[in-house]
Amino acid sequence: MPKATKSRKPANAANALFTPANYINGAWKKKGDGSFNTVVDKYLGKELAQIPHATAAQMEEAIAAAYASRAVVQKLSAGERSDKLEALAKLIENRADKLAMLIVQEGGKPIGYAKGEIARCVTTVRTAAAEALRFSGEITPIDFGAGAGKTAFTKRFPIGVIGAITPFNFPLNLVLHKVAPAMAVGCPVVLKPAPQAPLSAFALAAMMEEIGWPKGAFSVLLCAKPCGGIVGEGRAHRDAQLHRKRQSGLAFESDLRQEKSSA
Amino acid sequence: MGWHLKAICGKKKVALELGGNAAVIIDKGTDLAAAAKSVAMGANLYAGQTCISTQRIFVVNQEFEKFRDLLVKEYKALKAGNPADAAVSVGPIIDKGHFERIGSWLQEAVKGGAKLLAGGKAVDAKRNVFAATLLTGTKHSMKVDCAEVFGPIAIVEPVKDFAAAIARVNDSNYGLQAGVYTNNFQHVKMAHEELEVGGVMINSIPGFRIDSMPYGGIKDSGLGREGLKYAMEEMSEPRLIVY
Repeated sequence: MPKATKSRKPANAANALFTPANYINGAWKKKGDGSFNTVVDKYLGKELAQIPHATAAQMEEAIAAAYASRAVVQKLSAGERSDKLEALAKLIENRADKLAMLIVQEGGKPIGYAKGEIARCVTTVRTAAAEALRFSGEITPIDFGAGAGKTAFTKRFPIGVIGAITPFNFPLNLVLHKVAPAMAVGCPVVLKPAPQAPLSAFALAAMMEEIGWPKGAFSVLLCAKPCGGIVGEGRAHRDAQLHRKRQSGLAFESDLRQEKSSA
Repeated sequence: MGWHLKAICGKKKVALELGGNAAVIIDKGTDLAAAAKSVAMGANLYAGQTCISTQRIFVVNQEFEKFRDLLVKEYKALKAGNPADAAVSVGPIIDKGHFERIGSWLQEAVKGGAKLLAGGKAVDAKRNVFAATLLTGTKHSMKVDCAEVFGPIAIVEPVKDFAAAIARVNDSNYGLQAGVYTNNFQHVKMAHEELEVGGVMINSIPGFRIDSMPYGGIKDSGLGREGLKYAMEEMSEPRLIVY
């Protein structure tokens, strides 16, 4: 009799989308600080995945890798960045049903709204792909007075590494609202998703790997408290200073200020 | 938490998209039935766990009773339970802690004299499912009015006129988006000029969002704007060249 074990496809739809591990500098790290973040199905209560909490050194590695990847990402032309975004949009579209079910499970979001979120994700990424192509600066007319005969214009440059901390309620679209614009302008991202519903962000990491986004330019990790490296706190002062110098932006979105965040 | 992060971020650029206690205004001369349907949905979408969930509903006096009754009818049609069921719009609260907090905020309101129009209890306490709940006769000091519920509880209250409605919307520490149901052009203009929010949605719930829109709040609701083009501006800086 044929046995189900022959199938290499995991039983849980969630498992097919990602590896239960932190994604740091292009590698899936199954080892962390020894503790785990357990993600449960918000209605059925069953365990969906256990993600290791990253160590402080792994956070450090993610930030250092992001910093090092700036030159690589900036070397991509706007057209190349746009193409990567389009490839990502296609992957999300192809996996729409599975991604929606993952949001139903990890977020407890009703299926109709979860499908709506995935449709929005595709729009978010496609819009970023389009915006990447028309992102520029502006001409400043100065041809008068002391500026007579001169030309002035601005060109916009990426600010550098973005530290992103995202909420549970739109576990993919609000992650993409940080990641897609960062890709469009050429900023690396270190992402700490919501501990209640981080699996969609790990599914995104798998897709970023598939589209060949530069290694280190996108890392996703969960960490136990305190996990301040992402904003440059909670470490030896020397290191904190280093982070302040290196990291250039922070995007934070949360609806649960009454809750202690694990950031 | 967000503001704490900003405080420790030193010279880094920070964008914060936080929450709010979003409000909607129901003016006279609008399609009340259609508005009631949208508002019931907007207050309970994803069990109210969105930053622009409709939490405060202000109705001009002469329409109050009619709108309140229409809204209660819509509330009764909402189904709570298993999120995998396509007919369900109110699924579970994200965790037990928030489920219990939402219940305690409701208790505070009811003990303080608020009247329950719909819901008001757990549908499935084991699975953290809370009923779509509508209150009236609340006081501003109650958490269901002045704080962010982030759950399926909304308040519906009468106001003297449109100007009073705007004042009530603005009487909040937050300012993300507001909804305004009106067909009076002067009121549209007034809403745009006077509401202290990041975005005004006309004939729509505050929860209306298209991903390319500039999205973000003022006051305690945040800093900076999301929406692709706007986030790209936040994540880049202009470098000038002159020759």
